[in-house]
Amino acid sequence: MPMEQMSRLRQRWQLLAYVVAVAALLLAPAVLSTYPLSVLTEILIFGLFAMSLNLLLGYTGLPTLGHSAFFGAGGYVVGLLAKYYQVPLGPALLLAILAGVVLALVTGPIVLRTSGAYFLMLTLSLTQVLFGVVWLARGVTGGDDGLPGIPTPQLAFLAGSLEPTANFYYLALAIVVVAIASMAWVVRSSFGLALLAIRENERVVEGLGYPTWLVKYAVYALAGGYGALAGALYTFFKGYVGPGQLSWLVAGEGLVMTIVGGAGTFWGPMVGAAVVLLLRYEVSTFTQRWLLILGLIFIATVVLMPRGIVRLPERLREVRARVRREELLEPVAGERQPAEQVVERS
Amino acid sequence: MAETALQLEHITKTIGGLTILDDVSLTVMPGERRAVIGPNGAGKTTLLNVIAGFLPPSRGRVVVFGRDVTRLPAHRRVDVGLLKTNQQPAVFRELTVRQNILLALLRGRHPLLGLTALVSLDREVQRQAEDVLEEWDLLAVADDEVRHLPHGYQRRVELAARFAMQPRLLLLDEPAAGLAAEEIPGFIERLRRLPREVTVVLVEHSMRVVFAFADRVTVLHHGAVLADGTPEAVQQDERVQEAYLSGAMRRGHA
Repeated sequence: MPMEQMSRLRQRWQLLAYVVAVAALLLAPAVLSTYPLSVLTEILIFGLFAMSLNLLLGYTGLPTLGHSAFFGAGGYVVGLLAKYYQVPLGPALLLAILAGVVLALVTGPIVLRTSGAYFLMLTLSLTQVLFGVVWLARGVTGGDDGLPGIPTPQLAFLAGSLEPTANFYYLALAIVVVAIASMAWVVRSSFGLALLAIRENERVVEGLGYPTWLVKYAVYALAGGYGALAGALYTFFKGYVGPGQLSWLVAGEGLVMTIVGGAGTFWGPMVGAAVVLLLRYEVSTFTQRWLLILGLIFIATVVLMPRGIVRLPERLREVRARVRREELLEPVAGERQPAEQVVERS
Repeated sequence: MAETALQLEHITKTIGGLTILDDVSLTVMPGERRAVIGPNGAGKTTLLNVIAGFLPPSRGRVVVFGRDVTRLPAHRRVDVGLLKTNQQPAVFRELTVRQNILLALLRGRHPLLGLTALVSLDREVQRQAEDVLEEWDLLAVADDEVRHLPHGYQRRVELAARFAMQPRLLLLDEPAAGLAAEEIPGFIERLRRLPREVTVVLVEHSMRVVFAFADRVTVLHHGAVLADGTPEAVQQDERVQEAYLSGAMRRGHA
């Protein structure tokens, strides 16, 4: 069948793209100097953050403006553990993920009573509460000074042969790749399909016998875990964690990355993270007004490519498919009654 | 006494002081095809939503196959074998036809809310989906998003998904609404092919569908049962004619 051949061809191209991307990422430290490599590290970390947010916004249709709560929680957990208790990397990251999941499980029953704009406002306000708590708990969190001097972990077996930036880059790359692979499993599982369906019409999912509340609760917890992992990496990367990492501005930036790249697509948020951060670091070298340019790009993508940058090829395919479908349905369309055409237009 | 498929006991539903359903009781036997008819605003759709669990009744009990489901949430009622279709086809518009069918087939299939299995690697469910698509003549559009399809196709996707789940009690809310006139005979034929193990409660305005399909007809008027009987008996009932006629006079159309 030509359809199957086409999808097989697409799969082969996809595989090739993955191989090229992985090779490029592995070789990056050999080519890039310290500064661009640190930007790339930050792109990977924020990409993971935006992808975790995308589980809620893009896949389940839950717009959150409080995802920085998890990003900050993960950061403070590894920050406190590494600074005061010298907890090694692995356990510290696992505890950070756990903290994100627990935070989501605690706040979930509150925020998941709502959806849409109310969900957005509730997640925002809960995050602001957390921000306030961290700000006031000066004895533990350092208040607005945050926790400086957090040692950046290194891959021991590369410690001698690589300088620290490249070493941490490989460490972050490995963790982000594993996290993304597990996320790919989630969205391709039958759970992932149920998420898409909830985004489309939660009531119909309920009518098909899915416990929709529980599914949303589970994805909220997962997104919290991934978000906290990204936050933990970010804290290690900066060697510092402060209340700014909890700020809703970070959550908003995650939203922009997700929407620009393509909410509901798998790689879109990663692409969005790259776009936003490259703009910030590259454009800001010749103008202070990089936010203005980001704003214009944001408007342009939302207007011209409402489903994000990575949907562009898909959009072209869609147009072709529509032409094909119109040919297919032509005989039916001709006989249709006026009443039905009205239904279709509405 | 044989177990009933559906038993409504004194169902009353008030919303903001307005009585939508007023002490509705009815009994549907297994395998029966029951039509619920009535003028616009009689409470037919509300009644189906109460049975399916989307609206809690203010008073009364809903019993499905001997089990009191009054307090059960909608998704748990599917366990009892209850499924419902909507006036606007209950489909996922931005998902493909195949994904719509898969969602029905995958329900409760894998543990941990489905996190344990990749959809594409579940060969058996893929094959089942293929069978359903073929049976409903949807293979040609299997990988198109439902929103691109005409209304009649969307209805077919909705029914295919529900039938694939092998319900014991199927609630159909105006399934013929929006279908083109020439699609209706084929649609009636589909309904008739349903095995008698399936009990059907149908809300429908198209009398053609009602009389071709229903064993018994319940007439709702102002939220209360006005008449209940065979299609012929109900058709002869003077109160029914009056209810429809007065409704027609008030609204200026039938």
